[in-house]
Amino acid sequence: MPSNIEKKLKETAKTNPLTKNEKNMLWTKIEISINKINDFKPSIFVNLSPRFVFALIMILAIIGASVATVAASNDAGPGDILYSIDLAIEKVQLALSKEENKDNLRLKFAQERLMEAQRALAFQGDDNSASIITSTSTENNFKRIRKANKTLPSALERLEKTKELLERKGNEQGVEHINGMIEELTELAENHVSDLDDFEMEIEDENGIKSEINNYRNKIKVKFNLNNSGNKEKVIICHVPPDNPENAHTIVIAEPAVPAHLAHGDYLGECVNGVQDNDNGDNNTTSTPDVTAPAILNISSSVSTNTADIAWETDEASDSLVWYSTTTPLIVSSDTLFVNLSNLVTTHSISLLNLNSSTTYYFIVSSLDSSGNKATSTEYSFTTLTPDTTAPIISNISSSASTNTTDIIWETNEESDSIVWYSTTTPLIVSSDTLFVDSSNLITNHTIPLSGLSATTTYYFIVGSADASDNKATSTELSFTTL
Amino acid sequence: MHQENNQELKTLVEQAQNGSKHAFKEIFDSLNDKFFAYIFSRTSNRDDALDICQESFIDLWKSLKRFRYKSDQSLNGFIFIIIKRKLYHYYKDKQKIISLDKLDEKQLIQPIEKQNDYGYMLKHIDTLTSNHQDIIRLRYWSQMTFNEIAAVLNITESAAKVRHHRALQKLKINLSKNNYAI
Repeated sequence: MPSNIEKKLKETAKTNPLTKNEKNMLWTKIEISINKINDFKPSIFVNLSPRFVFALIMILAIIGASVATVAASNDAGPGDILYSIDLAIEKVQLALSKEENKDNLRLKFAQERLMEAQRALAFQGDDNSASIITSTSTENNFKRIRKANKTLPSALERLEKTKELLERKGNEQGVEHINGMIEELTELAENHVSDLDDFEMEIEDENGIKSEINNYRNKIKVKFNLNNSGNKEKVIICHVPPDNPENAHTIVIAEPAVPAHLAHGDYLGECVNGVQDNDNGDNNTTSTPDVTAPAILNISSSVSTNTADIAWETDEASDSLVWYSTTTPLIVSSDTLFVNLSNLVTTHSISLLNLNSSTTYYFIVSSLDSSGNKATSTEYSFTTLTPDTTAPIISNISSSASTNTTDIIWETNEESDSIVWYSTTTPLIVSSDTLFVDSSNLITNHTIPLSGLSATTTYYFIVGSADASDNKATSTELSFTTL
Repeated sequence: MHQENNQELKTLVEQAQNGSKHAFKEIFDSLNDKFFAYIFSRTSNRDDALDICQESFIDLWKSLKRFRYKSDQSLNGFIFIIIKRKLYHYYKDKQKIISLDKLDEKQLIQPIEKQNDYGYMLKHIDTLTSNHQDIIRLRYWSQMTFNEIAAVLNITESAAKVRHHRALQKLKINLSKNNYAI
């Protein structure tokens, strides 16, 4: 008769069992280890020729490692520091073993490469990968995928080299054996091709900027979804992951996050080489970094009453930033108003909107090139225009009537549009029913033709003009009589 | 799990002792759930538990030649000793300041995945004496019979039952003290 507590314990203990995937992974790791215990270790430490022991000791002395390193390095996979030691030991073993054993050793080493690949891939899920991912952090998973990406090609290369060697020596049995391994590895790669080649990651940083990382054929692409939460300045930086510097990539972050990123070794601007393909580790074609700031030339401003366009040029593609203020000297602080465009151009133009009229503004322009070199101008100023509040003055109104048409002519002292209201009744009161002819051209000498008039009739009319600031003027009532 | 000694496991052990990886895989398959559950209940995170489980089986392979098959339970006991040793090293590395005697009073930070009932139960199990802890973990996490537990802990079956009963009483008292509804 199980008590409640027993039931509870049974239920509790049943949670979090080993997943199928974890079991596979466990076994793969165990198998790799026991394979080494089985036939690898004895061949070094028991059946060693004195020649080999001597060479091994020399190697260890050279690399300054202890015997413990050998044991540890045997477990090392590609990407680990000890991996190169692992490879070196294998080479020494090969060089010193008797000719008839060499092929066997080669096969065994090839087998180890295969197993390393299997081990790396054991982390990738096939059926229930989700359980693995939840048990580790996304970042870990990311690392593992990268590791698997490295392991597979190196394992394949190794197997093919071995095959070539065995073929040359005519060891048919060995070739057959290695063909089996290559097949196995190929199958493994095919099964995991989706894990390896494409993966997507969505990251949201502390400022709510989402970025999406896609890995397609070993190239990492980063997409950004900037949601307009506030008008925080977005800054392009080259993100150098501290634990994985060869995976540097360009990201856009909010300005407040810049110091934190710079602190761990990122730099402003896009990555110098874009995304670096870490498979090409051999050809170190690092281009010389751009350390020259762009030169700012030809700063100009064109103003209206409450907007201003600031334009300038730079000698290299860079972004655009204008700080502005009504106080001088302009000291840039976090409160300073600014407008920023992040696209990299050589001809820059920034519009400042919502300015006060008849006000002097001071501004500084700044451009940042793709390598994070920043140029800043000295202080400039502009004064917004005083708004026009004066209506145009209408003068010299005349009319030249014929039987059915007439031209109404007048002048204004500033550019303005034209309208003529007319009627046969007097007094003429302008309403929505009143007949009118208008023109929106801004001119000073106005001529408005009226047509479809009745003959020998007296018409009463009013002319009106409005300037660009919509200050309106109208005439008094006048009249003409058609012939 | 088979209650009786079965010829199958004995054969597998013998084959594995002669170097059959295939046989060892079968042993692994039949035992991994049991021992992983026990290890996981005693470690602070899943990755560590997986590592310890892996190392324990590798050690089992290495030391299998020294094992003399008497019964299925004797194999469990043998593995259990290996696991205990692994766990001891794990804690030693993890908390060098805590002496071995006080190991069981440890206050390990429970990870996220052990929240809720799971974490709560384990926290209270952790307050029991090591003997009581083991018997509860083996009985519920490893789902062993009293017969198996007796072999693992090297006590008689009736002693295992008594100890189990007392451990449950203690746990119950602890839980009710903390107003945990049972």
